[in-house]
Amino acid sequence: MTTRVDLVDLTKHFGSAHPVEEFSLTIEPGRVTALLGPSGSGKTTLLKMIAGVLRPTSGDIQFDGESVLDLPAPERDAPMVFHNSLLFPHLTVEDNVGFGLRMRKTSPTERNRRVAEMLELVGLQDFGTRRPEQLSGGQQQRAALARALIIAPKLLLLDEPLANLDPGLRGEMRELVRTVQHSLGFTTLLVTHDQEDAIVIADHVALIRSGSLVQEGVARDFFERPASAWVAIFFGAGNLIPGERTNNEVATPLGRLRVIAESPASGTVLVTIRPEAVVLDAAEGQVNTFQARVIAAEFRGSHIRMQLKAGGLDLEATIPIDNAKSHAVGDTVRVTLPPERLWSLPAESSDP
Amino acid sequence: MSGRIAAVLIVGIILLPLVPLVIHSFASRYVFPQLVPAEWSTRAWRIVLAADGGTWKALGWSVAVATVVTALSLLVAVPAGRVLGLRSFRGRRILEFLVLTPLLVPAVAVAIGLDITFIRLGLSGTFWGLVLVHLIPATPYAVLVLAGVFANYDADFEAQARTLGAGPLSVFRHVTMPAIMPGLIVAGFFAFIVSWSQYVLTLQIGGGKVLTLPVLLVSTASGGDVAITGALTIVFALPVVILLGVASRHVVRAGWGTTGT
Repeated sequence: MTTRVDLVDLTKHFGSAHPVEEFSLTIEPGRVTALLGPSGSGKTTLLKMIAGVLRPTSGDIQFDGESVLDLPAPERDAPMVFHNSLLFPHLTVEDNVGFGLRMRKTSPTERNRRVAEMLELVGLQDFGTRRPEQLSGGQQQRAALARALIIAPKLLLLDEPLANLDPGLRGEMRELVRTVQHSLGFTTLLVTHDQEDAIVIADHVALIRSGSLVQEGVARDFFERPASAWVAIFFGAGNLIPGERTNNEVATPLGRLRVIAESPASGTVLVTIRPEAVVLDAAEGQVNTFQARVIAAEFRGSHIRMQLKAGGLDLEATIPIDNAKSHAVGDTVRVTLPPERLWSLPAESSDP
Repeated sequence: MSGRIAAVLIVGIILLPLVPLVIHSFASRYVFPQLVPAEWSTRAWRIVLAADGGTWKALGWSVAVATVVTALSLLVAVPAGRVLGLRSFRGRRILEFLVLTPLLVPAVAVAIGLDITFIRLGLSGTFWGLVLVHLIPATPYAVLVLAGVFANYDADFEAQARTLGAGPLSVFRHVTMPAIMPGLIVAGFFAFIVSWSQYVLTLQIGGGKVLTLPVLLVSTASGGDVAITGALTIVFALPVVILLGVASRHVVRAGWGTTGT
């Protein structure tokens, strides 16, 4: 059972606050879409509107092309899993997991069978008779996930399900969400402020900022083809070089730099490159090559993080340890920015 | 365990003052320097518990009125306390103050005015008239308690239940009610006691036609028979003590309601 979900110009106003503003997105059936954004960007408000516990000010929500705005939450089959799991404290783990089936008046035998199945799926088969407070944080989240999955949802809504877990459990839970989703195939919308969660779990990422969609696509696009300087910075691009673009070349303080032809902006632009794409000491005769001074070099275990200065600009580079000649602070190095990794952005979209 | 000790202490402090009353109620001659009565008798109890005496009728009235008052005040207090505790809106402070006004204005001040209105409406001296007038001081207590409970309540639990398929009634039954149960018990207990011990308003609106336990108790006490007054006081106090014992056990057993951990 997979459902396609369309959000059309979804808007929510609370008085003068506008947490969600004309947000449109298609959530593809059977896949995991991550809604990524900093805290306070309207993600949870959006999720609550889709779940049916908040009514949008305007816009539409469609499941398989049909508006569900008039469908109350209990009939939407779009359960939420909250970051604080919200297991009902007065019920056992079993009764929590079976809650949705009880509401649907499923027979007790059938309910018990499916509860056992779900507990097994999330690895809690020995914890059914416990109380929620007797579970660890990770176990509580797994129980909450089972409780949502048992109703065979049209759409599974995960609200920062990993936010309260420590790093080890986070990895485990990511894995679980991933495998469960693959085996059951429910359309899933994951809300998170953590880009790593989004990258690891989701097939498709939608970046939200101040209630509006900024960019969507596969995770890699956000790193290599950001839509704006804000996106580039959110994903840790670091290097932003101002310049004037004509055709494939941008005149910058570092000289003329050739960029990816299909990068969108022209005129006054910002050129961006990932720190890990910067090349030091490349062979002679390459384009996009200039001299820079080493300001700082930090050993980071798997790589070396370098601060460079050229043409009055700061640049960041991460260099693999094995093929890096040792460069001391103050040295001059030859820097190459491979044209196929240089992306230009509209300069006006760079806000602080 | 400490909860259990607390419950025993609470009930003990309330039971202890009843001991002299019990002694008085069984005394037939009991004058000053004597530590215990010179002669014992069950005379007072025979009179108070006589099948044709007024005690049973008054007890019946008190129980009926207090029970209905408790139920109705909770019916108002749950939604009112929810709004006051959960929402923040312009004028909430003023609304809270208005809810409290019946507790700030002495009952006598409004009793006469109310009586005239109630006579006009034909409610004077009736069961429902009494219920209505008792609701005036009882409801604010219940609202106050539940507003406090809802201030620490995480309404996301309800959103969670709804997205899992629970309709409004199921949400209340399976989520809200278990969460606020201790508060509900305390609020109900307050409302019950306020109604149970109401004297001035009952006398005024009851117009002497309706005799609840406190009214009977005051008139008996002014009659000067200490033994009978003692016995009647026990009849008056005992149900509340028992109720408190039951309620405190439930509250100590605890519920939840604040944010899950």
